[in-house]
This record gives sequence, structure tokens and C-alpha cells, in this order.
Amino acid sequence: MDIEWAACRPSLFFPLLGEGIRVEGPDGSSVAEFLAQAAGIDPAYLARRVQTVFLNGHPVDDLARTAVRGGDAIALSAALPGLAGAVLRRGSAYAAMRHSITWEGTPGEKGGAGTAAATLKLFNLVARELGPGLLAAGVRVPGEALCGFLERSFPGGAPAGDAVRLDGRPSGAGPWWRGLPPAETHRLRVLPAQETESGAPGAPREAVSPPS
Amino acid sequence: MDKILRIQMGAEGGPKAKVEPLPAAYAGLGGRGLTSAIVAHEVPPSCHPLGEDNKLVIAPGLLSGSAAAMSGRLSVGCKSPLTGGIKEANAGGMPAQMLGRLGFAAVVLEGKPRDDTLYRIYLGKDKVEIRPDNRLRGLGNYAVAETMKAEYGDKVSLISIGPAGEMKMAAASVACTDMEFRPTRHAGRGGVGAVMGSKGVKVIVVDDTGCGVRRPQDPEAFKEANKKFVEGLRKHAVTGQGLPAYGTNVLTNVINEAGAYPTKNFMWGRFANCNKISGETQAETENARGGEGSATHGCHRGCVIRCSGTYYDKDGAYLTKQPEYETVWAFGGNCAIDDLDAIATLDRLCDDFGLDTIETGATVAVAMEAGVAAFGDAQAAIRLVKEIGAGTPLGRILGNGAAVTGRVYGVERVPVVKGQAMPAYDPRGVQGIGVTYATSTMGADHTAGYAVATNILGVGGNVNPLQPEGQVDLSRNLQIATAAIDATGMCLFIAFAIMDQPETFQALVNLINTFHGLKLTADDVTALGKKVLSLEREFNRKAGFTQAMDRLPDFFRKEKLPPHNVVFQVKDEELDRVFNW
Ligand code: SF4
Repeated sequence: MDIEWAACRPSLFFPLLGEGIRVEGPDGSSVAEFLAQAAGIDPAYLARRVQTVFLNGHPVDDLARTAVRGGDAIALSAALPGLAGAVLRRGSAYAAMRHSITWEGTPGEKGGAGTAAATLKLFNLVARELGPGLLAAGVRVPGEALCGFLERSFPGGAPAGDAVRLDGRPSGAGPWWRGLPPAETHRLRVLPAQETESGAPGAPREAVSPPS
Repeated sequence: MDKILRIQMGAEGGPKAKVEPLPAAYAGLGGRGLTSAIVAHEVPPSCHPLGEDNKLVIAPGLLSGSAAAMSGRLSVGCKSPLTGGIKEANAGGMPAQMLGRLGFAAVVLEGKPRDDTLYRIYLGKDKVEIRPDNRLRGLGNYAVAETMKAEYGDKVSLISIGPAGEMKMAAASVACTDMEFRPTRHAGRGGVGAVMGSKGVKVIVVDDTGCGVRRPQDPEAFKEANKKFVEGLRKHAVTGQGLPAYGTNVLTNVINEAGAYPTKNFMWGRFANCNKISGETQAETENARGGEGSATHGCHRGCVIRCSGTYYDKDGAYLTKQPEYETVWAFGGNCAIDDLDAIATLDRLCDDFGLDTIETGATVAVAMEAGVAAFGDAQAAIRLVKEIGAGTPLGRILGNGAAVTGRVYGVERVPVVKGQAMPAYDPRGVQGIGVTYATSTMGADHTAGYAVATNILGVGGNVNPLQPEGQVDLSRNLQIATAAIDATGMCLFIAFAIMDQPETFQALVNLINTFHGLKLTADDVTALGKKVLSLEREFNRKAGFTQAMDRLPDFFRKEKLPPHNVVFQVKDEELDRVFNW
């Protein structure tokens, strides 16, 4: 299903990015290269802003020397508070404190052979900064996660002022997502309401800050 | 801040107050440095924590009451009824700033009333008044605030206990009012509220009317140092952006991703529904509901990080302050509850009854494991906490913490060290934190080795970060550095900016020096941290603590934690090295 959502508050969708979206990139490439290809994430942004990276739940220290394979899950976070936050950082001076879970996988190669489908999770400021662009371009989300998210975020249906089109047709009122096939992956585009209503970019109702 | 107020609660004819100059032995100490020094020097380590020989020491920070940013933390120290060792718990809110302006380095409650009369204490400019006030008996902290407001207005601040403190429960906290005069900031850990209850004091009203801001010795240099300090906090990604946007609950998703998020009473390292209670979801919920100070708010005037917020219910009515990461975890993943509104309700109940949310959440999870309620049942958790507030027989058990509850119900998986419940990081996932849990003077405590730059402070030599053995040295260094920051009475969250930015650390040292006319160096700060820890260790030793108590519960070495299937691996001999200096 192709879902286009003109939202008064696109930021309400940022937590969905923390549950994971489906992306595809070169199999066996490094985390940095994979993210650049699969999600258009600038390596400079990654190096500067993304302080904590997980591959399959393991903290990664060296982005260039870690390969992404099909079925992997990558999670990205900005700098975090607390001792745990400091310990989990890439290349942390406190890395010894989490040695039992640190990623010790294979190094990545430039431009792997095939294509790998992976799950990408964006947390906190990373979701806030990359979220508007990714959501506007469209993200692929597993049906079950999407339905669960929509059910608890908008129990009665889309908020007043939002407009949703399903495969190009208006969704109608109420919790229409209950009819989505949970086993399928759906494409979700979220745009600030005024941009889509007028058909051209305009001032969104909710200011969205660009990456600093 | 050159005087100590001592109130002898057991004096002949009723409580008597005495103001004395700050003894030379305590000069230059604030916050945890001062509370621990007074407890270590004046409290017999073998005394009963609820007896007349214990003292409750309430101390603002070295810079509280001045214009220095972040200087409003209040330390509360005593011998702990929960751990049986020395305790310092601290809180934000307004009382520290006001006590500083009144000139008090510490307020010490001593002795024990001769009957069960409940007292209120008023501290104003040149005035100390202690009055019996049995009307306050059984009131929650919110009702105490309303009662005091009717009499004193809302420009004063309060330090109070709820029914849990009156009932001398080991999970009882001491509440401080925030900028809105709500009792939302708690010195939570170790049962400090029970000790205040044992002294018969329900509330201390702190009124700084007529007192100016404390003046630095070198105003120009102080102003400059404060400016640099604030700039450093604002420009750092954690203190300038992450914490203001999401509060400490920003950690939920990430600790969960790391597989170190204790779930269902430390059974698993991941909570499937964690996104429902994450900081991201919480912030979006708060922003969508709106209201004054919703997602970004300070707990006291002078906080520039503002990691807190205000939680309104679905109808826009005030419910509680923004629950912190540890609270959201304790009642959330740890009890398998995925409902933010229910967690906020539990936070409100704990604030009102005067309960430590970490200890209480951990206790509810142990009770759930015992079959007293089902995991995931939010309404049952609310009922259990209400039992504590009502003081029913079950509530009396729960109110005394996870260790007591585990013993009563025969539960083996009880996540405590020295009787105190562990916070929200599984030590099998982040083993270095396990070292700190095991060896901290305070019992399992996440703030004991928080995060201060060992490389800047230069304590303990160089540590190879890639060697597992390094975690013992790191834990030691972090505990020293944390004790040093705690001794200044600054909010510990400044640690992140200090860790990464040497100039911000220097600005902090300059703030203290220019205010007090001192010439402290980074080495002096380190020495102070070591001194505080040494005093605390010595107190605990005399109270009967041995190396055998510097251990995690057995199950951490035996039960593999999914998803990474790891156990705690640090050897006992390694743990025993932490305090070798
Ligand atoms: S950073 Fe948070 S805990 Fe620290 S003083 Fe500010 S609001 Fe309070």
C-alpha cells in the first residue's frame, strides 16, 4: 500500500522511525557506505552527529570497518546522557565497560556485490533531524509495526486537519489502518499539511529544524 | 553560607535550634562532601538508622544561592535504613538556592522527639521556628504544599515527607518543591525520608524573603566564569540539545537497543514495547498535549540545561512532572507496563506518598515475579503503590523495598546491592556499571560513577579503554570524580559538557575559586572526591560492611541475559581492587 499523509504535526511520526524502517543498500559494504546509499545519510553528518551506532544491538566503534549484511538492524543515536550514554558512544574512553556486547564483526568492503535489505532505526535528535527528509521522500514500514504505531498514536483516526491518501484515494475517516495487511511492507510518505494541500511547498504548520 | 543550623528534636521541653559557625573541619565542603563529612564524624556507624543517634543532614551546594548556573541541588545525608551504610541522596527544586541565601551550609536534624508529635520548621531571615502541627499527619506531599501555601504563599520552598516517611519506610524519599511550588523533586534513594520521619519533622519551610543573591569574592571573574560555563553547557549536544528535547528518558530506546534494558524484573535485556514509553514518544506526547513547560523545563531557577518537563493528562490537566528515565523504566519495562499515562500516574503517587520511584518500581516488579500481580498490569501496579500510601500490611512490606519484599515472598531474583535496588541498566550488558553497582558506598546506584572525564581529572593513571580489565580502574575513577562533583552540589548533568570540553571544566573550577576566593586545581577536586569516598568507605566498614557486600546478586553470574546471552564476568578479586588507592 502507498500511503500519503498530509500531517499538521509530522513530528508525531518521528517515534515510528525508532521502531525501524526497511532500507536496501550494497551487501557487505561498510555501515557508512550502506547508510549513504540506502538512506542518503551524509557520512560527514554520521561522523559528527551520530555518536552511538548499533549493529544488531551491539555498539559499533569503527563505522568504516563494520560490514552490513542482509537482515541486519542498524540503529543510530545522537550523544546521550548518563554513564551508559558515555559508555555506548563510538570509540568511547569507557568502551571497556561494555566489552561483553561490543560488535566484533567483519570489516566492510567498498561496494559489496549484491543488495542487502536491512532495518534502520533512528532515535532522538537523529530522528528529529533526518526524519523530515526521509518521511517526505517516503519510508517502507512493516505493516504490523505501522498499524501498532497508528493505533496508539491516533486511536480515533487521523487528527483533524490531516489528509490521508491510500494508493492515491482518500482514506476516509476512522482507523482505516485496521484493514492494512500486517505481513506486508507499506510505503509511507508524510508531508507537512500545507505542502500537499496546495500541491506546492509552503510554510508548514509545524516548524521542522534542519540538521545543524 | 558560614553557619550550620542544628535542631535537637529530643531536647527537654521540646525541639531546640542552635546556629553555630561552620567548623573548620567542614570548611570548603558542600553537598555530598558536607553531608558525608558530618555523618562520618558525628554519627556512630553502629547506630540504628531510625534512632536518636542518627542525624539527617541537609546541605545545599557550594554555590547554591549564588548566580552560578546549575547550582541548586540539595543533598540529604544520614545513615540509611535501607542499606545500613552511609547515604547521600540529592534533589533539584528550590530549597537549596533559598537555604544558600539564608546563609546555611547545612541544617542538621538530631535526636528524636520524646513523643509522636509531628513538627513543622520555618526557616526565614534571622528566624527559626519549630512548631507542633499534627494537622499534617498522614498528608501527601501535594496536600502539605497546599496547606503551607495557604499560610506562607508560594514564594517559599518546602522540604517535606509524605506518609511513607511518617511510616518510616525504607523506600521513603524527601520531597522538594519546584519552581511551581509542586513537591516533584525528590532525594529518593536509601530511605532518607524515613529518617526525617523518625525525627518527627513533616515539613521544613524555607523562606529567603529579604535575602539577596550570594555575592562572589571576585564578581567580575565570577561573571566571566559563569558565562563560559553556560556557553559550554549550551553548545554541547547532550546538555544543549538532547537533554532539553527529551529529558533523561532519551535513554530508553538506546539502552533497549543495546540489550541492557532490564525487563520483567531483570529477566530480559529488551522490552518489546519500549517505543511506547520512549523519550521520543514521551516528548511528542507532551508537545502534542501542550501546556506550560511541557517537554522542556527546569527543576529550579538557574538551570540552563532544563532536562525536565511537565506531564499533562489526556484532558490537559496537570498530572506530574515529566517522569525521568529511571522512573519510566522502573514502572515501565521492569514491570512490563507500556502505558505512559499509567507510568505518569505512578510517578505522581510516588511523589505524593514520598517514595523513591526506583526502589518502588523494582519492588513492584519483584512482587509481580512473586505472583502478587501480573507483569504488564498497570492498574495492579497502581493498586500496589496505593497500598503503600495507605500503610496496609502488604503496603508496609512493599514500602520497605525490593530486598524485604523478595525475602517475604521467597523470590530469588532480587536485583539489589547492599539492600538497595538497582537502577535501569543491566550490569550484564554494561559490565562496568555492574562494577560501580557492586562497589559503590551507596548500594546499587547509577549516579555513583556517572561520567566525568578521567582524562581531564587525571585520576587513577591511564586506562586502556579496549581492555576489559580497564573497567575496574574506570569505575574507581568515575566514582572519585562523581563524588567530587557531588561535593560541589552542582547538578550532575553538567558532567557531559565537562567530560568533552576541558574549557567548561576549567570554567567550573573558576566559578568555585572566584566565588570563594580559592585557588583550587583539578588535582584538588580529585583529592576532594577521594576524601569523600574514603570517609564513606570507612563509615561503612565501621557499620559492619565487608568486601563480601561489594558483590552483585548471584543470578547475574548464572542467568544469561537475552538477547546477547551474557552473564556478569568481573571477578571478585577485580571488584576488590576498586578501592585500592
Ligand atoms: S538539568 Fe535537569 S536535574 Fe539538573 S538542574 Fe536542570 S532540570 Fe534539574
